[in-house]
Amino acid sequence: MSAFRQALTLELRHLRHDHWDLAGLTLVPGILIFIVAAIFWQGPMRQLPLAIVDSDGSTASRAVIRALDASPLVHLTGLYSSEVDAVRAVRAGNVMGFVHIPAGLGESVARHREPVVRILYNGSFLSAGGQVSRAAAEAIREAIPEIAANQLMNHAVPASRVRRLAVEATPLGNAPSSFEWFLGLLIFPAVLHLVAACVCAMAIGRELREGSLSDWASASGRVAPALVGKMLPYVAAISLWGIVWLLYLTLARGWRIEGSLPLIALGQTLFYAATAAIAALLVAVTRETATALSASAVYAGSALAYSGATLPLNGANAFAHIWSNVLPLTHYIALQMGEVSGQSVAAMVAPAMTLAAYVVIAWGGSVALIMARIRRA
Amino acid sequence: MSFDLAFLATWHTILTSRTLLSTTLLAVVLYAFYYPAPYAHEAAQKLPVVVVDQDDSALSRAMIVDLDATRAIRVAEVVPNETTAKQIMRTGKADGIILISDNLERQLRTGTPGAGVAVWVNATYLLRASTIGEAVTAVIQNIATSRLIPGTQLSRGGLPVAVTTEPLFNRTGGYKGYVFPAVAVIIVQQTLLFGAATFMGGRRRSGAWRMGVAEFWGTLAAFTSVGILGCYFLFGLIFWLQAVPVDGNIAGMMVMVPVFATAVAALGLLVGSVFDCAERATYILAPTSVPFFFLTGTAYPLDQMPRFIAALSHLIPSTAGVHTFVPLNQMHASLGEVTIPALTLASLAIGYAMLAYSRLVGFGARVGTSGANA
Repeated sequence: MSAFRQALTLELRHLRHDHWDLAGLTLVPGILIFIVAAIFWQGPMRQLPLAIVDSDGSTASRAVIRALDASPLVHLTGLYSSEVDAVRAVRAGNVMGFVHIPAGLGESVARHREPVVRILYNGSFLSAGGQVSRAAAEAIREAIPEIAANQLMNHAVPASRVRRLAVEATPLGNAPSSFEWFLGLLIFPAVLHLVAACVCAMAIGRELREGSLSDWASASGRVAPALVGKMLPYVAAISLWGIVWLLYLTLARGWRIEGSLPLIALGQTLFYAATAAIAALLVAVTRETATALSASAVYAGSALAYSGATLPLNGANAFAHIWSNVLPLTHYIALQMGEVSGQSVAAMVAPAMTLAAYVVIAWGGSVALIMARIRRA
Repeated sequence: MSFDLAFLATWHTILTSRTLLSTTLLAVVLYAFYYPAPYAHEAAQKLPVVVVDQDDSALSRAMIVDLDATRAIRVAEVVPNETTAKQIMRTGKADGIILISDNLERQLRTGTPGAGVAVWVNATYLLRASTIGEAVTAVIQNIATSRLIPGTQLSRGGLPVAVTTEPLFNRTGGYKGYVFPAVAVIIVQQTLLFGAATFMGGRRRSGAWRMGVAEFWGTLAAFTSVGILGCYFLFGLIFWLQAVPVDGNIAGMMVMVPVFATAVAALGLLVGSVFDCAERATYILAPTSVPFFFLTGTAYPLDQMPRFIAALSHLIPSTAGVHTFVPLNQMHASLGEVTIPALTLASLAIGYAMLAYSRLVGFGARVGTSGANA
């Protein structure tokens, strides 16, 4: 039997008997896929709680309140008499922010005093706070012509110059600003990256005898194909989970990939193969499963922060730039998101080549290390 | 084993085991600098856009200069037609296209309709899309009020009402100031969870995993003290070093940290006691870090999630932890304002401690002879 077939058969037999190792490949990703799917089930944010501090109490302020209430992103939950009380409600987490309507709003509009409506939102919960404040600002701007017209009944309202400059913004690829499509696409590959790093480190670490892989290597024949055979079940299973997630987002949830789904599937298999190779290298270097696992948890656990997919890295310090390019997730995300938004195939070459380089370098490195130790022994 | 001995023995194990020392203590120090690094620049900057300038007037050129001058946008290229712009976007060199349509200047001077500005942004990256959108709106409003009003006959410029938006607590609306305070809670929880579960997994492997009453409380106290150290280190020194916005209710935080640490340590001991070996802790728990962060509701609020998942998320200490410590550390909240998450943490601490006790000691066990104080 070839070294590849032997290693593969042994690994599959092991997985049939070891429930914990099998759970790491089946139950753990299964539960996590369910949790991530459930978190973002609703998609776009809706009905975020917002309070009002109405110092005006006139038809003008009521027009503002009606406009806010009509916004799908806003759910008016409280009317406070002072900003102090409203800030207290923000601190207690009852509202995401509040709108302060100044006294004499309508009259000021009529007399050209340029009254200021303030929107204050919770900056410590920036994503939801930002969403609700943008929606509130838009709703208030929409209400302004109505307020002006009501105040100047018998006057012709001069059309606002600013209004005349139409700005039309079209969000491509994610019209409803859905977090399911935005974060769902990013989170699950990051989770599978961690799963792959841990299960592969565990699988190779299992073969350590007194801090050495030499026994396993000599028992399994040629090291290079044996390593491939051993990793194959893990890379295949994790890649399948990745495809399940992509099919869930597209077929079940109706999101659209502009580029090619098979290309993404291919890219992620390459990515998980790279993760497996890195895990093998970590075990070969540290010669201790626990340390390899800890290292995996550190590098893969925060890879999403370094990928630039949430906060772009333009303007970041040199360390962040370099480390971001060292981490494989960055390149997979570039490939995946490029295909999702329909970039040309030529733009996929660089990230795909980088991922392939990880496989070759890390896999070659671990094989070389194991061989070197055998020779030394 | 007495409470004191168990406490010291656990600390001794943590400090002498390379795995436990690195997962519980060194990892916290590492993460304190490693995690904030990609967020240190706080805001999305110089996102590349392509401008299609059909108008080619003094006004449109001024607009392009203004767009390029914003923090958010870098005008990667100015092209005469949309096809070229789309090609550039397809190569991945731009995040958006801004079209300045023909006759824009004429429209603004004379009031004839039909022209305008169109923006197409790749919204699969939501943060980039909203950043570009906001910058374009700001530039255009500024141009309309500053460059067009002088010399024309309109009596007053601008909108009749000014709308201002201000972030509270995290006053600059910075990204690090938003993410890191919540992630700090996750860092403490996950490192402590890994540590306590690794410890118990190791004892499970050796077979001697059951404990006496005093030994249990001593061990729990030791891991709790590790969590307390981690929290005080991050919430005190590191928030200050990293210049995270802090408006702290220090007394309230000091009171709540032991409660949170107890909940996490007890959960770690409980979970670890079902594992077959020490390594299993990281193996099973490491992949949960990312979902647990999103389950705190920091990025996507809990009230937007399905009810059952929002309810389930409260079984993880970090969810109530974030909603206790972010208000206490960043918003100067009083304990009264965080009553609900604080009580949730207290119930979790009691609940997980009871469960861990019944699993590791058993309620049928006789009470230890010395120093068994809860």
